[in-house]
Amino acid sequence: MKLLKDFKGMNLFEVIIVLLIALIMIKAGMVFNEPANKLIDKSLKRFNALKLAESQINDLRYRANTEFSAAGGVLDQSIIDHTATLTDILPGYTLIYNVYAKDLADDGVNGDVDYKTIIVKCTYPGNNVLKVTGVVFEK
Amino acid sequence: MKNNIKKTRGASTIIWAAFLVIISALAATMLFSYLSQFNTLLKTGFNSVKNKLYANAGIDYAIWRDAKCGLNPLGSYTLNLDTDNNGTNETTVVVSAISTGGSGYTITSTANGKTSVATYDNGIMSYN
Repeated sequence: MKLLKDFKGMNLFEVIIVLLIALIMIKAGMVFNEPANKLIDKSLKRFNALKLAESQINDLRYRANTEFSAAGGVLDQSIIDHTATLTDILPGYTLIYNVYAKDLADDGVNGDVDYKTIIVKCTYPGNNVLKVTGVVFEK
Repeated sequence: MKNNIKKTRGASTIIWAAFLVIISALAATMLFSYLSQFNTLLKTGFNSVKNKLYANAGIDYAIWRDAKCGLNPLGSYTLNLDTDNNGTNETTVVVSAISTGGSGYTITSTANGKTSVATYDNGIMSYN
């Protein structure tokens, strides 16, 4: 108690007031810090999901043309769950993509498939979904 | 004399308390301001990655026109993308290609302000 009394020459009442203020500030700091922590945590997970989706699109983009056009090829299925095939996928993340065939007029042929739009949906912890769109051209 | 010392101490405590409250309020304001800026930065970063993918599609488009359609790859053209497959084109990719002097050409593709540049020569593509 003497130590407290000697603290900067304050009396006991003043010390209690200062300690109370300190406690309130610590609590306030924790309250203010919580949204920041949540945001950073969510952002990191979203960033991981983005990199996974981007990696998936680039993987499809550089595949051989047989996989673009062959029946049953990797780019002919409407929905593919690629989670199981990515050995380094993080726990809690899933990756699926939808493939949509597109025609362009440049080649003068109507109704053929010139490129495919790939919409990748990456689910990340917290049951959040990130959609990223990529394009794969016929080679 | 003794009362004056007590009053001074009391005033000092109040001033310190007020100072601490102001500092914590300022810190909280700054934190929320930074959070908002951080959020904006993240959104910009995410859109940048998405637009880079669209810009890369423009590069592939230029090569496809050349290889599959036999069209002159040089010049400027656009690729409209329906990025959510709802039947409406949301993104326009602006592509331009200039000759490197030989058989190759340099392609510049821009989507929503994000640019990809690549050189294509004899079947080999290299991103700049």
